[in-house]
Amino acid sequence: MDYVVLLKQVPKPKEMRVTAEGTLDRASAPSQINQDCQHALELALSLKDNYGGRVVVVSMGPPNFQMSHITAMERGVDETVLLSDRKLGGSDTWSTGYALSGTLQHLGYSSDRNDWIIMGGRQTTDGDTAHVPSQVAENLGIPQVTLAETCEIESSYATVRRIVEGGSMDLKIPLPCMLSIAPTAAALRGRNMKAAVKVKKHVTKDDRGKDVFKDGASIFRLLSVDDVGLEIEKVGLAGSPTIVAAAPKVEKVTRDLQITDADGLQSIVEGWQ
Amino acid sequence: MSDWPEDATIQRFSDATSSSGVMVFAEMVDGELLNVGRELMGPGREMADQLGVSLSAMLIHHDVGSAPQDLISLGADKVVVVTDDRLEHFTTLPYARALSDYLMNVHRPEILLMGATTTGRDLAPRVASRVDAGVTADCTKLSVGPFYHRKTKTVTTHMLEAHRPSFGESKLACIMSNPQQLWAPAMATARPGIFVAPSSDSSRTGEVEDFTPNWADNDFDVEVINVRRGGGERVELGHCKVIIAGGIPCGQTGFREIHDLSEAIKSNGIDVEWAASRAAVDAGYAPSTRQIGQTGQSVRPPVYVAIAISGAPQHMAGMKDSSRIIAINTDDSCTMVQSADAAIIGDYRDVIPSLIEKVNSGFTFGL
Ligand SMILES: Cc1cc2nc3c(=O)[nH]c(=O)nc-3n(C[C@H](O)[C@H](O)[C@H](O)COP(=O)(O)OP(=O)(O)OC[C@H]3O[C@@H](n4cnc5c(N)ncnc54)[C@H](O)[C@@H]3O)c2cc1C
Ligand SMILES: Nc1ncnc2c1ncn2[C@@H]1O[C@H](COP(=O)(O)O)[C@@H](O)[C@H]1O
Repeated sequence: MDYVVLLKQVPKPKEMRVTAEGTLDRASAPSQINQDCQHALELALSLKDNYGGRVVVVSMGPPNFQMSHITAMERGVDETVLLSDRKLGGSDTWSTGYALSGTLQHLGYSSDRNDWIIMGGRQTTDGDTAHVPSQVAENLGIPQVTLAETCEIESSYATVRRIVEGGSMDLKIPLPCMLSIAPTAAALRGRNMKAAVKVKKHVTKDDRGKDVFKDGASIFRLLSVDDVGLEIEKVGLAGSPTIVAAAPKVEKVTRDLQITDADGLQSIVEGWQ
Repeated sequence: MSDWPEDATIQRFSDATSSSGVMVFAEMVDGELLNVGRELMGPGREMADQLGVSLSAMLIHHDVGSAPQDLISLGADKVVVVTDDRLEHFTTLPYARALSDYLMNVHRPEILLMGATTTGRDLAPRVASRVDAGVTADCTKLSVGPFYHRKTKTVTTHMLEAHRPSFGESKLACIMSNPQQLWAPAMATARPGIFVAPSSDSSRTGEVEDFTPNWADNDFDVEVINVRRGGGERVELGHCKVIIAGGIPCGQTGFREIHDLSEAIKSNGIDVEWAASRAAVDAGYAPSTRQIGQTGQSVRPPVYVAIAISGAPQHMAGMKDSSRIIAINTDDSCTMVQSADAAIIGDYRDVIPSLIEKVNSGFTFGL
């Protein structure tokens, strides 16, 4: 069984900056694994603990995403794949869904095999759409459940709990399928010493002192648009059906926080109008 | 985006994409039309009038009851109805089939709106990928306007402008169709509670069209085993002057104290109710009818007291417009405290009893 995790590296939410064109300035911000993706990763790792198999991380993004791949490896991931190409810059969710599904197909994940499952995060803090998992699933022609909190696997299907308004529902979904994992699922485990030692052998520093995989590391694959065979007119800024036409600043309502105790609260509140 | 040179080529979005009309997917749960569907008839009708086109609504459910007429009364010119016994609970594939089949084989609208509910945010992107359409998530403002594309010197007019908060809500991004990839419909999901439903006029007339999609064998492969939606007492929190909400750390005992606190406030003649975060509801400390947030109720009382609630965005979505927010939390760096007017940093076990004492001696939260 292969548990594929769609993992995105994002700028730390508090340190995001926006360029003049309204796109994110990713280059300079410190990054981390997107929060919801961490929950997806944890679910995949715990399924591997329970049922055996492999966890494979797949991302689309710049080469520095390797940092997050290394972090994931230290938790027990078996292999990581990065689709990285300048031609992908500016892709919206439709294009990202297309490109990621093409990468999965390239890796041999097809709808007529039932020994794999994909897990994505519910949403990213930078793209912030929750669209990509559904769009990957559609392109692969496999069923989906978004907002899943738990997952158990029984031979040819998975049983999952999904968040809905006012409660939740349990669903039975045949494999292969796509799940997007809610941040209410279990939190990501810490480093695993054995795994960390193993991955260390494959890691070196780039010229800016950042951790990257060594050339030819067997646990990491770097793919380009051509490697995967993506249609160029379906990716990047030009290939995306949506664009950011404008992004004006909005004034945030700020409140004047007063820290107090029960006695103080009474006088603060009585001063409010 | 309204400045362009005189020699620019001008085209209308609907002409360039052979599409016409505005459509709203009006979600139904347990035989009832969701409010967000009614709300979307507001911007839907407005944009249809501005564009000079018709407004249709799409219903997909096992039993639509009087919903078609309700939507016509709210402004729909036409309601497309897909019914099937297997459509009682939402799963992605049959809904995606119904919508995409209609869009591809019967009629392609220029704009398609859905509620940004757990259903809409699952369904919209799937349909967008299937029919080749752009989709914008979680919009708070919808309008139509032109866009000038410098590279091709083309102005596309009558386009959907889908506005959504982005980058931590500090910006309002306006998302439009890419002139280099003009596809219809331009899709958007809109947050519940943002738009105001138009007033209903039962004398309005419209057409109801039954549509039977070409179901595929595996459309019903995903099986709903069971659904837990907090039945039981219906709690109206909308009118309250004070809401006392508890988070998961409160546990059974803490919620008993929260209940005591709200009873004490009530006996001072204040309209008060207690509520909970989703985590507390999931843990069984409160019924889901008292849940505040994105998948619960949205409230904006004069005073909202958040006890041991961290302030996850899905919780904030349901209460951030309260006039005053009071946070009680051990962690002064959590979002709830940072978003509050006043905060008591401490253990609820110490704070609630002293608040009850204050209330018993006449404290009414300034009301
Ligand atoms: C699709 C989706 C929809 C959702 N919808 C909702 C929704 O409608 N409503 C909702 O609430 N959530 C919703 N959630 C869940 C949300 O993401 C959070 O998980 C949830 O709000 C957290 O609840 P909490 O604040 O009670 O718990 P926590 O986040 O665990 O916070 C507990 C807080 O209590 C404080 N604390 C701990 N001990 C004490 C003590 N002794 N005294 C005082 N303070 C203490 C901590 O510092 C912390 O700030 C949704 C999630 C998803 C994915
Ligand atoms: N560039 C990407 N690489 C890998 N996974 C992604 C990427 N973008 C989105 N995803 C997946 O889709 C989920 C939702 O992302 P979004 O639609 O951006 O909110 C994420 O949590 C990831 O699992």
